[in-house]
Amino acid sequence: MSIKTLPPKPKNLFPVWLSVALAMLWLIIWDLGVDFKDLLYGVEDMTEYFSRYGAPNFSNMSSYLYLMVQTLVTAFWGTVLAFIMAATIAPYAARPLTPNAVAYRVAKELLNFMRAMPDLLLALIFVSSMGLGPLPGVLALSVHTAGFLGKFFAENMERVPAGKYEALSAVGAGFTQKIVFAAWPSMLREAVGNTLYIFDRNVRMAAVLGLVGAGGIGLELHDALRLFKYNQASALIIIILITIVVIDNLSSWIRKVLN
Amino acid sequence: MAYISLREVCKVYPNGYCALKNINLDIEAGQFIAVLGPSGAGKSTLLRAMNALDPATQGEITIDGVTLNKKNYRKIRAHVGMVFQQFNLVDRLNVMTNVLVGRLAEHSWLSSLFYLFPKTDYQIAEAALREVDLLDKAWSRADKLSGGQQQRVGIARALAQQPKLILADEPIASLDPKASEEVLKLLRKICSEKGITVIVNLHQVEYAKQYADRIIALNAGWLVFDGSPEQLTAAKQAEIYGTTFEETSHEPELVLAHA
Amino acid sequence: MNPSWYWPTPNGKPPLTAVLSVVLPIAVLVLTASTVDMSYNKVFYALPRMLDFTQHLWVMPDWHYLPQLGEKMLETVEMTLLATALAVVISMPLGILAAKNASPNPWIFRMTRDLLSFIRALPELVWALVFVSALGLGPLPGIMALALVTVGFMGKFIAESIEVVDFKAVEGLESTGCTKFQSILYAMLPQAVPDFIGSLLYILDHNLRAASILGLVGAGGIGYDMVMSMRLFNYERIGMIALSIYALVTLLDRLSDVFRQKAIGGILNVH
Repeated sequence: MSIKTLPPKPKNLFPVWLSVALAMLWLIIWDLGVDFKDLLYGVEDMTEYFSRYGAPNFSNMSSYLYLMVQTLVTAFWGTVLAFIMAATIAPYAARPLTPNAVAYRVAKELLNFMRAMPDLLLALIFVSSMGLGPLPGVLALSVHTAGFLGKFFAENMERVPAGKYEALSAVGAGFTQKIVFAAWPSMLREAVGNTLYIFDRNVRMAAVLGLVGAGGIGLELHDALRLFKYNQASALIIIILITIVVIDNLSSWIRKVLN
Repeated sequence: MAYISLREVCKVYPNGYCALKNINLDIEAGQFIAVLGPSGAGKSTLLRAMNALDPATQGEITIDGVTLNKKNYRKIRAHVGMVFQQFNLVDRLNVMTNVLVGRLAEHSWLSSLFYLFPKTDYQIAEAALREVDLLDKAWSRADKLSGGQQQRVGIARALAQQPKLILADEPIASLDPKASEEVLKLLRKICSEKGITVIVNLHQVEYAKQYADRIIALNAGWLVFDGSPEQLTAAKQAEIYGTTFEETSHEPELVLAHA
Repeated sequence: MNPSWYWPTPNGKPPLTAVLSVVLPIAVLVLTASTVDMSYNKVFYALPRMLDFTQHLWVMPDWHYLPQLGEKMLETVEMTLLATALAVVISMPLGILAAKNASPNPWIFRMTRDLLSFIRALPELVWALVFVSALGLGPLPGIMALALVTVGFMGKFIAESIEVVDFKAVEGLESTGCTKFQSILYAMLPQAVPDFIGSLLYILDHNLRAASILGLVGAGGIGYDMVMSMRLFNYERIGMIALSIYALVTLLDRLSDVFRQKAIGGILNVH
């Protein structure tokens, strides 16, 4: 039995979605009262404004470098602590491994909660309980990114073929033994990639957390801009920029080497 | 008393599907048993009920005097080895570690956390590797071996448990004919020399007749045949599979229907 | 340690990479502990203060704040959506230019790639600081900052997707005698779409979080209220703000999961 005529063309909803999206965007622009003309008019002003950054002033180089190092170290500590927390919680949030349904729900919600809290808010809370300095930044970063890393790890663990876990059940292995001998060896590569990505992200966040007094180079930049010291600001921005670019390239390289 | 006994064993899945219907079996120690039957007959379910990977929903299974219940699964599994169709090795780990996994039931989570094993375990693992003739590959990564070799590692892992029973769930379904014969010969040798009870799921009736002391056949969850290879006449085969082996080879559609 | 326990390696000792990957980070942590004021005392003594803080959160919410909260949260969401939409539009052509196999000439390829690297390299908040300096307070600098950084990430992502496209499809198209532009449109972009959706959802999530803190520097959204209520110890508001951010982020998370499943099913067929 063959079809003699062309079956009807399936309804194409794309134009519908597109118009809905455009309508929404129009509404948003109207509601925010944002006027993009400001940008256009401001182009000349902006050009003049950006030119003020043209002469970077590196006279405080050593203190800037120290702050940058402090920022990097904050990111590193945050990432390591996050890794430890994530590695501990993640198996409970992975369906093939979790010992019971309650543990699973609790672990998942915990990770979600840690992820959802903005790191800035956490930093503010920690600063108010610990005072200024990089330590609250470290803790804020570690709690927040532990949520992300934990979710990644749990997803990786769930993606390991079920047979590997079964073989370990079949020899009588327990919870920890399944994690150590089936989950981690099978997801090591992805886990390292995830951790590098989180470290990358933490370097950026650490630079920013300084703005609330959590140490690092962010505070210095804020002050410089407040006092209109564009030369110093641009020096700081350049340092931040170079550091992030270096870290980016380093982590890409490490990932290439691992593959 | 029989080494393994199943009494009125039924397995009903949560969606209502009944995979095993009222199975009664007695198995003496040291027998080599082949389980035959069309796909979906319940062969895997039967084996997996015996080591509680898919526990039976009704009835009693007793191994070596101990009846399976929720609390003693791990204890039972410590001395019941399982060989899988997909081998279920951990690809990234070396062959030796995959074999040592068989010893995990004897150790607490603390030492397993660091991938440490006592010397006695290494001696047992070495003996197991010698038995399957893979000593030279002991330090190679598991995924660098051929299919037949990987399955032999799976058998070595089961041997490392020093089991009294080995359950082989379609061990040769993923192997070429030469590797299949190697594996079956190996299992037969282990059974005869060490007195280990071996139960193997197979699709190939010829292999079953060649290697087994006793053949059990399932169809749609029912036990439909239990006897010696000689008793498995063409007529009996027809009952099990719906047609005989000779007939199926002339009728491609029927072959496909039973595939 | 009992000497007869060994590692599963030929010499019984743990492999070098494993040892290094544990020892090196620990060494760095120990060496740098002072740089971040990491001290057991500080953390320990802070615990009662944090407990105290959480206790204070369990107060009646400031219901009068609700309308302003709603307004600011709405502003945050709108900033996110607008900035992301802008960024998507701008990053498509830039992404094509930044893809080695689709770029008209190697010079443009290199320049676009480097430009994208540059705008990615600074955190959104830094860009927001800069834009606020130039444009004044309000949501516009925030939108610009978000959009800019998103273009950086999205552009790179699109470029990479185009570069790993299956060339057989492209060849098939070129054998019909079409132009390079047409081959990009009909062979490369459609293959990059599924991954694009995934990364778009992820970027939306990231941008929502980023948007919620931009207010810190006056670039719109709930960030300003968040910081001010912390500074003034306005516990009633802090709880409300934290809760609403949590709710919003979780909502977006669930929606993305649903959307991801549907998108894989092909609801976005263009033709």
